[in-house]
Amino acid sequence: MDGIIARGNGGCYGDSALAPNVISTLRYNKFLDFDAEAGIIQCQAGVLLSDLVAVIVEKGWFLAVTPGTKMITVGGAIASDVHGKAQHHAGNFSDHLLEMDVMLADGSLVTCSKEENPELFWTTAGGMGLTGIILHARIKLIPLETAYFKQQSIKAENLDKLMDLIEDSEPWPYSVAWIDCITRGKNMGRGVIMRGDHARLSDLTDDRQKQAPLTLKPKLKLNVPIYFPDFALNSLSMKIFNNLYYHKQIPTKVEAIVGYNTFFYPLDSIQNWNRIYGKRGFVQYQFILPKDNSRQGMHEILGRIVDSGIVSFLAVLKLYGKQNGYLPFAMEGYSLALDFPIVDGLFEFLDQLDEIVLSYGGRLYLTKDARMSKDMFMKSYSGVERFLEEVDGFNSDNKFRSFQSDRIGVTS
Amino acid sequence: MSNLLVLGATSDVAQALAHRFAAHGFNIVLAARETDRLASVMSDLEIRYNAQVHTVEFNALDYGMTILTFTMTLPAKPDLWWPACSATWEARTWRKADFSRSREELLTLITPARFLCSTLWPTILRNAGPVQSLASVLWRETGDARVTTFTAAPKAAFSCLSVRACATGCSSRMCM
Repeated sequence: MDGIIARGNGGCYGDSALAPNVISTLRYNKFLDFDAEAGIIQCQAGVLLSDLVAVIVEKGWFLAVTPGTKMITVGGAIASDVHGKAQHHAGNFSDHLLEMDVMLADGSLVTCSKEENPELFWTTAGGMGLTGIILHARIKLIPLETAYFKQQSIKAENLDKLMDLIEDSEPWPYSVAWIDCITRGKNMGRGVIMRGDHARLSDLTDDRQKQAPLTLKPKLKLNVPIYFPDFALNSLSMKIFNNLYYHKQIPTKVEAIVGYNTFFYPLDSIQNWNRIYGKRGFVQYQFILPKDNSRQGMHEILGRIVDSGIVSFLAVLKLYGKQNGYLPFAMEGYSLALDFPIVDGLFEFLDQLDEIVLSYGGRLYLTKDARMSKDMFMKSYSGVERFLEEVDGFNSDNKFRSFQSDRIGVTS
Repeated sequence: MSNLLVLGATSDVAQALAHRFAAHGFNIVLAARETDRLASVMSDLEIRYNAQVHTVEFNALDYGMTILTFTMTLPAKPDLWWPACSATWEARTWRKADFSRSREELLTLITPARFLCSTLWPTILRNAGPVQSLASVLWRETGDARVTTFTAAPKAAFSCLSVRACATGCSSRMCM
């Protein structure tokens, strides 16, 4: 059987886990070992981060790196080498991965780590499932005193001030900014930065929180029961949403103690949130630019978005640090993630954005990609030659391939 | 802390039961023919629910086994016995089925019932322990996808037991 890709919980936005033959790892979801003294957990690759977090938080541990959703599997987190609000401090998921077992194309099971079979380790971490099937992982956790976070939200009235605030927030272990991609003029790129740190026991003021610092109060989950009509998300409705979101916080700076679900996974509390985009769906477009020319590049791209009339419902700006591995998305620089509802002319517009991203030395995030060209991929990913060489060594017959890997020329 | 004994614990239905009961604070004894297949199930239950989990060997086809010899292998007296026996086949593939294998499956389905009714049930009655059972027969006309609907076996076969129907296809989720 050729043309296989392993698939976790289907959290990728594009076609990276789609292939003629898909192997679901969702049932391969057992915890194998947990050293509660050292904070090391071993599990099968189909374990969801939501299950993992539920198990470790009550024992006083947390993931050093977690993305903005916990509805992904451990295997998916490794294959995409996911990052989160702590990327500038803690790096990517693989930085805290001690060891993994991978089933290669010949059926052999190989254990790899940063010391043992490092080529396989670094090609698999962030390798989009093209070396084989990740079966087991051993992950180093970080200790927690409470399940709560100290969060500060600070408004900035334009892009430059927002980026200044983000850079001032570098000492904070967690930071990310919401950005308004609709407003023009002197307020273009206004936004709200959310930065935070783990709350210690002494930071908690609520009695209930103090009594059970590692247990969160169950929160009601919202649901979007139907697909919104295609016209629901238009420039007017999004302008209203952006204004409300920006002005809902009246003081410039607000501090709060929030649970880890609110801090890390706000979208997980809304089931079927994708239905807001209607049946036509949406495209997520996430790019990163090197720090040296990020300001100029972000201004140019935001200007193009504002002028185009194509509006992004949600946009997230974040400062990144370096990433290890043969196919790193992250670099020292700024990344902007945009959600575009699918409208006529969108794909042509994104082709234009690709050219701007490329001209600034940037690249697109493979995990969220559904449309990048081979040319764009080959030119923008600096470590691609080494990655192709290693993938060819482990997967010479292209047994493992996805529609994405075919499209961007890694397999063919 | 209550103890649950699950017979036939390598099946998905049995594991779904074990998850549900462990989440409610039960300690679990997993009994199956191939206990080495239960290692990951055991660690998973222990880590997820802080439950105490044991495995013991149990072979429903072993006609030489008596209730006495079996109960002697248990780490603690169960508060609840739950034989989970199941058989699955599809109508379309039935015609091509290896009938020796099917016979084995049918035996697997029927033998625990025999074991339960003739030997186990009177013993448990004497010990005043409750027993519940879930037997499943899967039947599907078409389609290649794995079907995850389980229906109760004919109630007559388990007339002395409380048989519940449930729909589950996942070892961590279950409807009761």
